[in-house]
Amino acid sequence: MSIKEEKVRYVARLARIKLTDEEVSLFSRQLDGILGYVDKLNQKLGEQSRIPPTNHPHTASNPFRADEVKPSLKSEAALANAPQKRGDFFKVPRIIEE
Amino acid sequence: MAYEPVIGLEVHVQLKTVSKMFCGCATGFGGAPNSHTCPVCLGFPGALPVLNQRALTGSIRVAVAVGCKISDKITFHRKNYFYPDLPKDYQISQYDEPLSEHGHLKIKISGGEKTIRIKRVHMEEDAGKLIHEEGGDSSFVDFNRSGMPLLEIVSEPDINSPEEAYRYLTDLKLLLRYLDVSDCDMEKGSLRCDANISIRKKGETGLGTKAEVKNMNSFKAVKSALEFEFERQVKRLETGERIVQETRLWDPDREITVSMRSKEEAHDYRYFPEPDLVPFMLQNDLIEMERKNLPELPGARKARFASAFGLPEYDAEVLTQEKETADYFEECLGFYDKPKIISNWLMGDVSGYLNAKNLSVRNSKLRPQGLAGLLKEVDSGKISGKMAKDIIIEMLDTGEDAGVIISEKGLAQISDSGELDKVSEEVIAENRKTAEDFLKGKDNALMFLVGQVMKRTKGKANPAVVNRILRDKLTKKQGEEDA
Ligand SMILES: [Zn+2]
Repeated sequence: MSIKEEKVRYVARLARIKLTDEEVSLFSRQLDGILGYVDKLNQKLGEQSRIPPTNHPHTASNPFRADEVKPSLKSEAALANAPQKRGDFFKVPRIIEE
Repeated sequence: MAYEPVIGLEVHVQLKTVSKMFCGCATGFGGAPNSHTCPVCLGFPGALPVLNQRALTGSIRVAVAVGCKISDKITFHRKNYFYPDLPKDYQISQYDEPLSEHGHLKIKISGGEKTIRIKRVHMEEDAGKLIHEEGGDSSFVDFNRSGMPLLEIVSEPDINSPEEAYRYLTDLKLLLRYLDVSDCDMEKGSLRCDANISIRKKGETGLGTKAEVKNMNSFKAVKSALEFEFERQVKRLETGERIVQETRLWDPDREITVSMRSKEEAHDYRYFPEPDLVPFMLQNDLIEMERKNLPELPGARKARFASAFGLPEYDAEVLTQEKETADYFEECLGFYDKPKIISNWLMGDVSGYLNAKNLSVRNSKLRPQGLAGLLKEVDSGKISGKMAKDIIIEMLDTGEDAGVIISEKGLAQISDSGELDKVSEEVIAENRKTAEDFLKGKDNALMFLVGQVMKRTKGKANPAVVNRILRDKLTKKQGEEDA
Protein backbone atom coordinates (compact mmCIF):
# COMPACT_ATOMS: atom_id res chain seq x y z
CA MET A 1 0.00 0.00 0.00
CA SER A 2 1.33 3.41 -0.75
CA ILE A 3 0.14 6.80 0.32
CA LYS A 4 -0.32 9.35 -2.39
CA GLU A 5 -0.06 13.05 -1.69
CA GLU A 6 -3.65 13.40 -2.71
CA LYS A 7 -4.68 11.11 0.12
CA VAL A 8 -2.65 13.08 2.64
CA ARG A 9 -4.33 16.29 1.54
CA TYR A 10 -7.74 14.63 1.81
CA VAL A 11 -7.16 13.29 5.32
CA ALA A 12 -5.68 16.61 6.39
CA ARG A 13 -8.83 18.35 5.20
CA LEU A 14 -11.04 15.85 7.06
CA ALA A 15 -9.02 16.51 10.21
CA ARG A 16 -9.01 20.28 9.61
CA ILE A 17 -5.22 20.37 9.60
CA LYS A 18 -3.55 22.90 7.37
CA LEU A 19 -0.45 21.50 5.68
CA THR A 20 2.10 23.24 3.49
CA ASP A 21 3.16 21.58 0.25
CA GLU A 22 6.44 20.63 1.88
CA GLU A 23 4.61 18.98 4.76
CA VAL A 24 2.34 17.11 2.41
CA SER A 25 5.27 15.63 0.59
CA LEU A 26 7.14 14.90 3.84
CA PHE A 27 4.16 13.14 5.46
CA SER A 28 3.40 11.20 2.29
CA ARG A 29 6.90 9.79 2.34
CA GLN A 30 6.82 9.04 6.07
CA LEU A 31 3.38 7.43 6.02
CA ASP A 32 4.37 5.49 2.96
CA GLY A 33 7.34 4.11 4.88
CA ILE A 34 5.20 3.08 7.85
CA LEU A 35 2.60 1.38 5.72
CA GLY A 36 5.30 -0.28 3.67
CA TYR A 37 6.60 -1.80 6.86
CA VAL A 38 3.15 -3.12 7.76
CA ASP A 39 2.89 -4.60 4.29
CA LYS A 40 6.19 -6.35 4.84
CA LEU A 41 4.94 -7.80 8.14
CA ASN A 42 1.80 -9.07 6.47
CA GLN A 43 3.84 -10.77 3.80
CA LYS A 44 6.14 -12.39 6.34
CA LEU A 45 3.29 -13.63 8.51
CA GLY A 46 1.37 -14.79 5.50
CA GLU A 47 -2.20 -15.96 5.37
CA GLN A 48 -1.76 -18.73 7.94
CA SER A 49 -1.51 -16.33 10.84
CA ARG A 50 -4.17 -13.77 10.15
CA ILE A 51 -4.48 -11.76 13.32
CA PRO A 52 -7.83 -10.13 14.05
CA PRO A 53 -7.56 -6.41 14.59
CA THR A 54 -6.99 -5.51 18.21
CA ASN A 55 -9.21 -2.68 19.25
CA HIS A 56 -7.92 -2.66 22.76
CA PRO A 57 -4.78 -3.95 24.45
CA HIS A 58 -6.58 -4.16 27.79
CA THR A 59 -8.10 -7.37 29.02
CA ALA A 60 -10.22 -5.61 31.64
CA SER A 61 -13.77 -6.82 31.53
CA ASN A 62 -16.86 -4.68 31.34
CA PRO A 63 -16.19 -1.71 33.57
CA PHE A 64 -19.65 -0.24 34.17
CA ARG A 65 -20.94 2.48 36.33
CA ALA A 66 -24.30 2.42 38.09
CA ASP A 67 -26.86 4.87 36.79
CA GLU A 68 -26.30 7.50 39.47
CA VAL A 69 -26.11 11.26 39.23
CA LYS A 70 -22.81 12.80 40.25
CA PRO A 71 -22.29 16.53 40.75
CA SER A 72 -21.64 18.40 37.51
CA LEU A 73 -19.37 21.37 37.02
CA LYS A 74 -20.67 24.78 37.90
CA SER A 75 -21.47 26.70 34.72
CA GLU A 76 -18.66 29.18 35.51
CA ALA A 77 -16.20 26.31 35.65
CA ALA A 78 -17.61 24.69 32.52
CA LEU A 79 -17.28 27.98 30.65
CA ALA A 80 -13.99 29.05 32.19
CA ASN A 81 -11.88 28.20 29.16
CA ALA A 82 -14.40 29.23 26.53
CA PRO A 83 -12.87 31.65 24.02
CA GLN A 84 -16.26 33.31 23.79
CA LYS A 85 -19.41 33.04 25.84
CA ARG A 86 -22.68 34.78 26.42
CA GLY A 87 -24.56 34.19 29.65
CA ASP A 88 -24.31 30.48 30.36
CA PHE A 89 -23.76 29.62 26.69
CA PHE A 90 -20.65 28.93 24.69
CA LYS A 91 -20.61 31.37 21.80
CA VAL A 92 -19.45 30.20 18.39
CA PRO A 93 -19.52 31.65 14.88
CA ARG A 94 -22.93 31.23 13.36
CA ILE A 95 -23.48 27.92 11.67
CA ILE A 96 -25.53 28.26 8.55
CA GLU A 97 -27.25 25.18 7.37
CA GLU A 98 -30.26 25.17 5.15
CA MET B 1 -46.23 3.86 -14.89
CA ALA B 2 -46.97 3.03 -11.27
CA TYR B 3 -44.22 3.67 -8.75
CA GLU B 4 -43.90 2.65 -5.15
CA PRO B 5 -41.81 4.22 -2.42
CA VAL B 6 -39.12 2.24 -0.66
CA ILE B 7 -38.61 3.62 2.81
CA GLY B 8 -36.25 2.90 5.67
CA LEU B 9 -36.48 4.70 8.99
CA GLU B 10 -33.80 5.62 11.47
CA VAL B 11 -35.22 6.26 14.88
CA HIS B 12 -33.25 7.70 17.78
CA VAL B 13 -34.73 7.47 21.23
CA GLN B 14 -33.32 8.90 24.38
CA LEU B 15 -32.98 6.18 26.98
CA LYS B 16 -34.65 6.79 30.32
CA THR B 17 -31.71 6.99 32.71
CA VAL B 18 -31.02 9.48 35.46
CA SER B 19 -27.40 10.03 34.44
CA LYS B 20 -25.74 10.41 31.04
CA MET B 21 -24.29 7.59 29.00
CA PHE B 22 -20.64 7.91 29.97
CA CYS B 23 -20.63 10.31 32.92
CA GLY B 24 -22.68 11.08 36.04
CA CYS B 25 -24.25 14.32 34.81
CA ALA B 26 -28.02 14.46 35.23
CA THR B 27 -30.25 13.85 32.22
CA GLY B 28 -33.19 15.87 33.50
CA PHE B 29 -34.57 18.72 31.43
CA GLY B 30 -34.73 22.28 32.52
CA GLY B 31 -31.30 22.96 34.04
CA ALA B 32 -29.58 26.25 33.24
CA PRO B 33 -27.48 25.99 30.05
CA ASN B 34 -24.27 24.01 30.56
CA SER B 35 -25.14 23.23 34.19
CA HIS B 36 -25.30 19.46 33.50
CA THR B 37 -21.79 19.14 32.19
CA CYS B 38 -18.46 17.75 33.29
CA PRO B 39 -15.03 17.06 31.79
CA VAL B 40 -16.35 13.88 30.12
CA CYS B 41 -19.35 15.33 28.32
CA LEU B 42 -17.49 18.55 27.53
CA GLY B 43 -14.73 16.52 25.95
CA PHE B 44 -11.89 17.81 28.11
CA PRO B 45 -8.59 16.11 27.36
CA GLY B 46 -7.88 13.13 29.56
CA ALA B 47 -11.45 12.64 30.76
CA LEU B 48 -12.50 9.01 30.58
CA PRO B 49 -15.95 7.71 29.70
CA VAL B 50 -17.48 4.83 31.69
CA LEU B 51 -20.61 3.10 30.38
CA ASN B 52 -23.88 3.53 32.25
CA GLN B 53 -25.14 0.07 33.08
CA ARG B 54 -28.80 0.96 32.85
CA ALA B 55 -28.26 2.40 29.38
CA LEU B 56 -26.85 -0.95 28.36
CA THR B 57 -29.57 -3.08 29.99
CA GLY B 58 -32.31 -0.86 28.55
CA SER B 59 -30.74 -1.23 25.11
CA ILE B 60 -30.58 -4.99 25.50
CA ARG B 61 -34.24 -5.04 26.51
CA VAL B 62 -35.20 -3.28 23.26
CA ALA B 63 -32.94 -5.53 21.18
CA VAL B 64 -34.51 -8.62 22.76
CA ALA B 65 -38.05 -7.29 22.27
CA VAL B 66 -37.54 -6.77 18.53
CA GLY B 67 -35.96 -10.18 18.19
CA CYS B 68 -32.47 -8.96 17.36
CA LYS B 69 -29.45 -11.19 17.59
CA ILE B 70 -27.34 -9.71 20.36
CA SER B 71 -23.57 -9.82 19.94
CA ASP B 72 -21.44 -11.47 22.62
CA LYS B 73 -18.89 -8.77 22.07
CA ILE B 74 -19.73 -5.15 21.53
CA THR B 75 -17.37 -2.30 20.85
CA PHE B 76 -17.72 1.43 20.60
CA HIS B 77 -16.31 3.52 17.79
CA ARG B 78 -15.54 7.15 17.29
CA LYS B 79 -17.55 8.77 14.54
CA ASN B 80 -15.47 11.76 13.55
CA TYR B 81 -16.91 15.02 12.33
CA PHE B 82 -16.71 18.67 13.19
CA TYR B 83 -19.67 20.59 14.42
CA PRO B 84 -19.89 23.06 17.29
CA ASP B 85 -22.41 20.93 19.20
CA LEU B 86 -19.92 18.05 19.31
CA PRO B 87 -17.32 18.94 21.94
CA LYS B 88 -14.89 16.06 21.28
CA ASP B 89 -15.15 16.36 17.49
CA TYR B 90 -16.29 12.78 17.52
CA GLN B 91 -19.40 11.04 18.70
CA ILE B 92 -19.08 7.77 20.59
CA SER B 93 -21.21 5.39 18.56
CA GLN B 94 -21.13 1.82 17.33
CA TYR B 95 -19.96 0.64 13.97
CA ASP B 96 -19.07 -2.89 12.93
CA GLU B 97 -19.75 -4.61 16.24
CA PRO B 98 -23.05 -3.07 17.29
CA LEU B 99 -25.15 -4.27 20.17
CA SER B 100 -27.52 -6.21 17.98
CA GLU B 101 -28.70 -6.90 14.46
CA HIS B 102 -31.39 -8.64 12.42
CA GLY B 103 -34.62 -8.10 14.29
CA HIS B 104 -38.11 -7.27 13.14
CA LEU B 105 -41.24 -5.41 14.11
CA LYS B 106 -44.72 -6.50 13.14
CA ILE B 107 -46.91 -3.57 12.23
CA LYS B 108 -50.64 -3.41 11.71
CA ILE B 109 -51.70 -2.55 8.20
CA SER B 110 -55.15 -2.59 6.70
CA GLY B 111 -56.12 -6.19 6.34
CA GLY B 112 -53.42 -7.70 8.52
CA GLU B 113 -49.85 -7.47 9.63
CA LYS B 114 -46.59 -6.73 7.93
CA THR B 115 -43.13 -7.56 9.17
CA ILE B 116 -40.58 -4.79 8.92
CA ARG B 117 -37.06 -6.08 9.38
CA ILE B 118 -34.83 -4.21 11.76
CA LYS B 119 -31.28 -3.92 10.57
CA ARG B 120 -29.65 -2.97 13.81
CA VAL B 121 -30.19 -1.52 17.26
CA HIS B 122 -27.18 0.25 18.65
CA MET B 123 -26.10 2.69 21.33
CA GLU B 124 -24.60 6.11 20.92
CA GLU B 125 -24.31 9.42 22.71
CA ASP B 126 -26.19 12.58 21.88
CA ALA B 127 -24.63 15.90 20.87
CA GLY B 128 -25.24 19.27 22.50
CA LYS B 129 -27.80 21.79 21.39
CA LEU B 130 -27.16 24.76 19.12
CA ILE B 131 -29.23 27.87 19.36
CA HIS B 132 -29.07 30.35 16.52
CA GLU B 133 -29.41 34.01 17.06
CA GLU B 134 -32.05 35.55 14.88
CA GLY B 135 -30.24 37.63 12.29
CA GLY B 136 -27.01 37.64 14.31
CA ASP B 137 -23.66 36.19 13.38
CA SER B 138 -23.28 33.90 16.37
CA SER B 139 -24.65 30.58 17.54
CA PHE B 140 -24.84 29.44 21.16
CA VAL B 141 -24.09 26.02 22.52
CA ASP B 142 -25.65 24.24 25.47
CA PHE B 143 -23.95 20.95 26.27
CA ASN B 144 -26.56 19.70 28.73
CA ARG B 145 -27.70 17.24 26.06
CA SER B 146 -24.17 16.21 25.19
CA GLY B 147 -23.60 12.60 26.19
CA MET B 148 -27.27 11.72 26.76
CA PRO B 149 -27.78 8.02 26.06
CA LEU B 150 -29.41 7.29 22.72
CA LEU B 151 -30.56 4.13 21.10
CA GLU B 152 -30.61 4.05 17.32
CA ILE B 153 -33.07 1.69 15.71
CA VAL B 154 -32.57 1.28 11.99
CA SER B 155 -35.14 -0.46 9.82
CA GLU B 156 -34.47 -2.21 6.54
CA PRO B 157 -36.11 -0.53 3.51
CA ASP B 158 -39.22 -2.67 3.94
CA ILE B 159 -41.71 0.16 4.26
CA ASN B 160 -43.70 0.85 1.13
CA SER B 161 -45.97 3.77 1.91
CA PRO B 162 -46.03 6.87 4.08
CA GLU B 163 -48.95 5.27 5.91
CA GLU B 164 -46.84 2.21 6.74
CA ALA B 165 -44.08 4.50 7.98
CA TYR B 166 -46.60 6.13 10.30
CA ARG B 167 -47.77 2.74 11.59
CA TYR B 168 -44.21 1.59 12.10
CA LEU B 169 -43.46 4.64 14.21
CA THR B 170 -46.67 4.31 16.20
CA ASP B 171 -46.11 0.63 16.91
CA LEU B 172 -42.42 1.13 17.71
CA LYS B 173 -43.26 3.92 20.14
CA LEU B 174 -45.92 1.79 21.77
CA LEU B 175 -43.40 -1.02 22.21
CA LEU B 176 -40.70 1.27 23.61
CA ARG B 177 -43.13 2.76 26.09
CA TYR B 178 -44.21 -0.68 27.22
CA LEU B 179 -40.55 -1.55 27.71
CA ASP B 180 -40.24 1.58 29.84
CA VAL B 181 -36.95 2.54 28.20
CA SER B 182 -37.89 5.94 26.82
CA ASP B 183 -40.55 8.63 27.01
CA CYS B 184 -40.59 8.75 23.22
CA ASP B 185 -41.76 12.33 23.25
CA MET B 186 -41.05 13.86 19.86
CA GLU B 187 -41.86 17.34 21.09
CA LYS B 188 -39.23 17.09 23.80
CA GLY B 189 -36.83 15.47 21.36
CA SER B 190 -36.64 12.14 23.16
CA LEU B 191 -37.66 10.48 19.89
CA ARG B 192 -36.31 11.62 16.54
CA CYS B 193 -36.80 10.11 13.12
CA ASP B 194 -34.96 10.41 9.82
CA ALA B 195 -36.23 8.71 6.70
CA ASN B 196 -34.53 7.29 3.63
CA ILE B 197 -36.76 7.13 0.61
CA SER B 198 -36.32 6.04 -2.97
CA ILE B 199 -38.84 4.93 -5.56
CA ARG B 200 -39.10 2.09 -8.02
CA LYS B 201 -41.56 0.76 -10.54
CA LYS B 202 -44.09 -1.50 -8.91
CA GLY B 203 -43.04 -5.09 -9.19
CA GLU B 204 -39.33 -4.35 -9.33
CA THR B 205 -37.05 -5.37 -6.50
CA GLY B 206 -33.96 -3.19 -6.98
CA LEU B 207 -33.33 -0.02 -5.04
CA GLY B 208 -33.22 3.43 -6.58
CA THR B 209 -31.17 6.43 -5.52
CA LYS B 210 -32.38 7.54 -2.13
CA ALA B 211 -32.86 10.85 -0.45
CA GLU B 212 -32.51 11.25 3.28
CA VAL B 213 -35.25 13.38 4.81
CA LYS B 214 -34.76 15.09 8.16
CA ASN B 215 -36.33 17.67 10.41
CA MET B 216 -39.72 16.08 11.01
CA ASN B 217 -41.05 16.85 14.46
CA SER B 218 -44.08 14.58 14.59
CA PHE B 219 -45.21 11.26 13.15
CA LYS B 220 -47.68 13.19 11.01
CA ALA B 221 -44.84 15.31 9.68
CA VAL B 222 -42.92 12.13 8.78
CA LYS B 223 -45.95 10.94 6.82
CA SER B 224 -46.46 14.27 5.06
CA ALA B 225 -42.76 14.61 4.24
CA LEU B 226 -42.72 11.12 2.73
CA GLU B 227 -45.86 11.81 0.72
CA PHE B 228 -44.30 14.96 -0.67
CA GLU B 229 -40.97 13.31 -1.34
CA PHE B 230 -42.58 10.35 -3.12
CA GLU B 231 -44.42 12.66 -5.49
CA ARG B 232 -41.35 14.79 -6.06
CA GLN B 233 -39.29 11.78 -7.03
CA VAL B 234 -42.01 10.38 -9.30
CA LYS B 235 -42.28 13.72 -11.06
CA ARG B 236 -38.53 13.84 -11.61
CA LEU B 237 -38.38 10.40 -13.15
CA GLU B 238 -41.42 11.04 -15.29
CA THR B 239 -39.89 14.19 -16.70
CA GLY B 240 -36.69 12.33 -17.44
CA GLU B 241 -34.63 13.81 -14.61
CA ARG B 242 -32.35 11.92 -12.28
CA ILE B 243 -32.70 11.60 -8.56
CA VAL B 244 -29.72 12.90 -6.66
CA GLN B 245 -28.50 11.30 -3.48
CA GLU B 246 -28.85 14.10 -0.95
CA THR B 247 -30.17 15.16 2.41
CA ARG B 248 -33.40 17.10 2.35
CA LEU B 249 -35.09 19.01 5.14
CA TRP B 250 -38.82 19.01 5.76
CA ASP B 251 -40.21 22.53 5.90
CA PRO B 252 -43.40 22.19 7.94
CA ASP B 253 -44.70 25.65 7.03
CA ARG B 254 -44.45 25.23 3.29
CA GLU B 255 -45.02 21.46 3.51
CA ILE B 256 -42.19 20.65 1.15
CA THR B 257 -38.75 19.13 1.43
CA VAL B 258 -35.79 21.31 0.58
CA SER B 259 -32.33 20.18 -0.42
CA MET B 260 -29.68 20.87 2.20
CA ARG B 261 -27.21 22.81 0.17
CA SER B 262 -24.40 22.37 2.66
CA LYS B 263 -21.26 20.92 1.23
CA GLU B 264 -21.55 17.72 3.26
CA GLU B 265 -18.63 16.23 1.40
CA ALA B 266 -19.82 12.65 1.12
CA HIS B 267 -19.88 11.66 4.77
CA ASP B 268 -16.53 10.23 5.67
CA TYR B 269 -16.57 9.71 9.40
CA ARG B 270 -13.38 7.69 9.58
CA TYR B 271 -14.80 5.45 12.26
CA PHE B 272 -12.18 3.91 14.48
CA PRO B 273 -12.35 1.92 17.73
CA GLU B 274 -12.86 4.08 20.81
CA PRO B 275 -9.67 3.43 22.77
CA ASP B 276 -11.19 4.80 26.00
CA LEU B 277 -13.75 2.00 26.19
CA VAL B 278 -12.69 -1.63 26.29
CA PRO B 279 -14.80 -4.12 24.35
CA PHE B 280 -17.73 -5.50 26.29
CA MET B 281 -18.28 -9.20 26.54
CA LEU B 282 -21.96 -9.63 27.10
CA GLN B 283 -22.62 -12.45 29.47
CA ASN B 284 -25.52 -14.57 28.44
CA ASP B 285 -27.18 -14.26 31.84
CA LEU B 286 -27.46 -10.50 31.40
CA ILE B 287 -29.31 -11.00 28.13
CA GLU B 288 -31.43 -13.80 29.56
CA MET B 289 -32.37 -11.67 32.53
CA GLU B 290 -33.69 -8.94 30.24
CA ARG B 291 -35.50 -11.53 28.18
CA LYS B 292 -37.10 -13.02 31.27
CA ASN B 293 -38.11 -9.63 32.64
CA LEU B 294 -39.70 -8.52 29.40
CA PRO B 295 -43.16 -7.18 30.22
CA GLU B 296 -46.26 -8.39 28.40
CA LEU B 297 -46.00 -6.63 25.03
CA PRO B 298 -48.81 -4.61 23.46
CA GLY B 299 -50.01 -7.24 20.98
CA ALA B 300 -50.21 -9.96 23.61
CA ARG B 301 -51.94 -7.69 26.05
CA LYS B 302 -54.54 -6.65 23.52
CA ALA B 303 -55.29 -10.29 22.74
CA ARG B 304 -55.60 -11.08 26.44
CA PHE B 305 -57.94 -8.13 27.05
CA ALA B 306 -60.21 -9.44 24.32
CA SER B 307 -60.16 -13.07 25.40
CA ALA B 308 -59.94 -12.87 29.19
CA PHE B 309 -62.29 -9.93 29.70
CA GLY B 310 -64.59 -10.46 26.75
CA LEU B 311 -63.91 -6.97 25.45
CA PRO B 312 -64.58 -6.06 21.82
CA GLU B 313 -61.41 -5.86 19.73
CA TYR B 314 -61.82 -2.11 19.46
CA ASP B 315 -61.91 -1.65 23.25
CA ALA B 316 -58.94 -3.97 23.72
CA GLU B 317 -56.95 -1.96 21.19
CA VAL B 318 -57.79 1.45 22.64
CA LEU B 319 -57.12 0.38 26.23
CA THR B 320 -53.72 -1.07 25.39
CA GLN B 321 -52.51 1.93 23.35
CA GLU B 322 -50.80 3.22 26.46
CA LYS B 323 -49.36 0.86 29.02
CA GLU B 324 -50.50 3.23 31.72
CA THR B 325 -54.13 3.06 30.62
CA ALA B 326 -54.01 -0.71 30.39
CA ASP B 327 -52.53 -0.95 33.90
CA TYR B 328 -55.16 1.45 35.19
CA PHE B 329 -57.94 -0.57 33.61
CA GLU B 330 -56.70 -3.74 35.26
CA GLU B 331 -56.49 -2.00 38.62
CA CYS B 332 -60.10 -0.86 38.27
CA LEU B 333 -61.06 -4.46 37.59
CA GLY B 334 -59.67 -5.36 40.99
CA PHE B 335 -62.40 -3.24 42.57
CA TYR B 336 -65.26 -3.67 40.12
CA ASP B 337 -65.80 -6.79 38.10
CA LYS B 338 -67.52 -5.56 34.94
CA PRO B 339 -64.82 -5.05 32.29
CA LYS B 340 -67.03 -3.63 29.55
CA ILE B 341 -68.56 -1.02 31.85
CA ILE B 342 -65.14 0.15 33.04
CA SER B 343 -63.97 0.22 29.45
CA ASN B 344 -66.96 2.36 28.41
CA TRP B 345 -66.22 4.90 31.12
CA LEU B 346 -62.49 5.01 30.47
CA MET B 347 -62.89 5.38 26.71
CA GLY B 348 -65.81 7.77 27.06
CA ASP B 349 -66.22 10.39 29.76
CA VAL B 350 -62.85 9.86 31.40
CA SER B 351 -60.77 10.05 28.24
CA GLY B 352 -62.86 12.99 27.00
CA TYR B 353 -61.94 14.88 30.16
CA LEU B 354 -58.28 13.85 30.03
CA ASN B 355 -57.89 14.83 26.39
CA ALA B 356 -59.43 18.23 27.00
CA LYS B 357 -57.05 18.84 29.89
CA ASN B 358 -54.11 17.13 28.21
CA LEU B 359 -53.65 14.83 31.18
CA SER B 360 -52.89 11.17 31.48
CA VAL B 361 -55.12 9.03 33.64
CA ARG B 362 -52.36 8.66 36.23
CA ASN B 363 -51.94 12.41 36.46
CA SER B 364 -55.65 12.87 37.03
CA LYS B 365 -57.12 12.76 40.50
CA LEU B 366 -59.39 9.83 39.73
CA ARG B 367 -58.21 6.65 41.46
CA PRO B 368 -59.23 3.20 40.30
CA GLN B 369 -61.09 2.61 43.61
CA GLY B 370 -62.87 5.92 43.05
CA LEU B 371 -64.15 4.96 39.62
CA ALA B 372 -65.19 1.56 40.91
CA GLY B 373 -67.05 3.21 43.82
CA LEU B 374 -68.99 5.44 41.43
CA LEU B 375 -70.00 2.52 39.22
CA LYS B 376 -71.25 0.63 42.25
CA GLU B 377 -73.45 3.58 43.20
CA VAL B 378 -74.98 3.43 39.72
CA ASP B 379 -75.54 -0.31 40.03
CA SER B 380 -77.29 0.10 43.37
CA GLY B 381 -79.67 2.63 41.86
CA LYS B 382 -78.59 5.36 44.24
CA ILE B 383 -77.69 7.57 41.31
CA SER B 384 -78.57 7.48 37.64
CA GLY B 385 -76.07 6.97 34.87
CA LYS B 386 -76.68 10.56 33.89
CA MET B 387 -75.83 11.83 37.36
CA ALA B 388 -72.72 9.70 37.33
CA LYS B 389 -71.55 11.59 34.24
CA ASP B 390 -71.57 14.82 36.23
CA ILE B 391 -70.09 13.25 39.33
CA ILE B 392 -67.16 11.74 37.43
CA ILE B 393 -66.09 15.19 36.25
CA GLU B 394 -66.08 16.39 39.83
CA MET B 395 -64.10 13.33 40.87
CA LEU B 396 -61.57 13.98 38.13
CA ASP B 397 -61.31 17.59 39.27
CA THR B 398 -61.10 17.05 43.00
CA GLY B 399 -60.29 13.38 43.62
CA GLU B 400 -63.23 13.21 46.05
CA ASP B 401 -65.10 9.94 46.57
CA ALA B 402 -68.39 9.49 44.74
CA GLY B 403 -70.22 8.89 48.03
CA VAL B 404 -69.03 12.20 49.48
CA ILE B 405 -70.01 14.15 46.36
CA ILE B 406 -73.44 12.49 46.29
CA SER B 407 -74.26 13.34 49.89
CA GLU B 408 -72.71 16.81 49.86
CA LYS B 409 -74.66 17.85 46.81
CA GLY B 410 -77.78 15.98 47.76
CA LEU B 411 -77.50 14.19 44.48
CA ALA B 412 -78.87 10.85 45.56
CA GLN B 413 -81.56 9.65 43.27
CA ILE B 414 -85.03 9.50 44.80
CA SER B 415 -86.21 5.93 44.58
CA ASP B 416 -88.32 6.22 47.67
CA SER B 417 -91.84 5.52 46.48
CA GLY B 418 -93.48 7.48 49.29
CA GLU B 419 -92.06 10.77 48.08
CA LEU B 420 -92.46 9.93 44.40
CA ASP B 421 -96.04 8.85 45.05
CA LYS B 422 -96.93 12.31 46.23
CA VAL B 423 -95.30 14.09 43.33
CA SER B 424 -96.84 11.69 40.82
CA GLU B 425 -100.32 12.33 42.23
CA GLU B 426 -99.81 16.05 41.83
CA VAL B 427 -98.55 15.71 38.30
CA ILE B 428 -101.52 13.53 37.28
CA ALA B 429 -103.96 15.95 38.91
CA GLU B 430 -102.49 18.90 37.02
CA ASN B 431 -102.32 17.10 33.68
CA ARG B 432 -105.70 15.39 33.42
CA LYS B 433 -105.82 15.63 29.67
CA THR B 434 -102.42 14.01 29.19
CA ALA B 435 -103.32 11.30 31.65
CA GLU B 436 -106.42 10.51 29.63
CA ASP B 437 -104.41 10.47 26.42
CA PHE B 438 -102.22 7.79 27.93
CA LEU B 439 -105.21 5.73 28.88
CA LYS B 440 -106.45 6.04 25.32
CA GLY B 441 -103.25 4.36 24.23
CA LYS B 442 -100.82 7.21 23.68
CA ASP B 443 -97.57 5.94 25.16
CA ASN B 444 -95.83 9.27 24.58
CA ALA B 445 -98.17 10.83 27.08
CA LEU B 446 -96.59 8.77 29.83
CA MET B 447 -93.14 10.03 28.86
CA PHE B 448 -94.41 13.57 29.26
CA LEU B 449 -95.68 12.81 32.74
CA VAL B 450 -92.40 11.16 33.74
CA GLY B 451 -90.66 14.29 32.49
CA GLN B 452 -92.86 16.44 34.71
CA VAL B 453 -91.99 14.37 37.78
CA MET B 454 -88.31 14.57 36.92
CA LYS B 455 -88.63 18.32 36.61
CA ARG B 456 -90.27 18.70 40.01
CA THR B 457 -87.62 16.56 41.67
CA LYS B 458 -84.88 18.48 39.87
CA GLY B 459 -83.84 15.37 38.02
CA LYS B 460 -83.24 13.40 41.15
CA ALA B 461 -86.06 10.92 40.74
CA ASN B 462 -85.20 7.46 39.56
CA PRO B 463 -86.91 7.46 36.13
CA ALA B 464 -87.55 3.72 36.20
CA VAL B 465 -89.34 3.99 39.53
CA VAL B 466 -91.34 7.03 38.39
CA ASN B 467 -92.37 5.20 35.27
CA ARG B 468 -93.65 2.26 37.29
CA ILE B 469 -95.51 4.44 39.82
CA LEU B 470 -97.24 6.52 37.14
CA ARG B 471 -98.23 3.49 35.14
CA ASP B 472 -99.67 1.81 38.29
CA LYS B 473 -101.58 4.88 39.35
CA LEU B 474 -103.09 5.57 35.93
CA THR B 475 -104.20 2.03 35.26
CA LYS B 476 -105.62 1.81 38.77
CA LYS B 477 -107.58 5.01 38.17
CA GLN B 478 -108.94 3.61 34.96
CA GLY B 479 -110.02 0.47 36.78
CA GLU B 480 -111.85 2.55 39.39
CA GLU B 481 -113.58 4.67 36.75
CA ASP B 482 -114.61 1.65 34.74
CA ALA B 483 -116.04 -0.05 37.78
ZN1 LIG C 1 -20.87 14.91 32.14
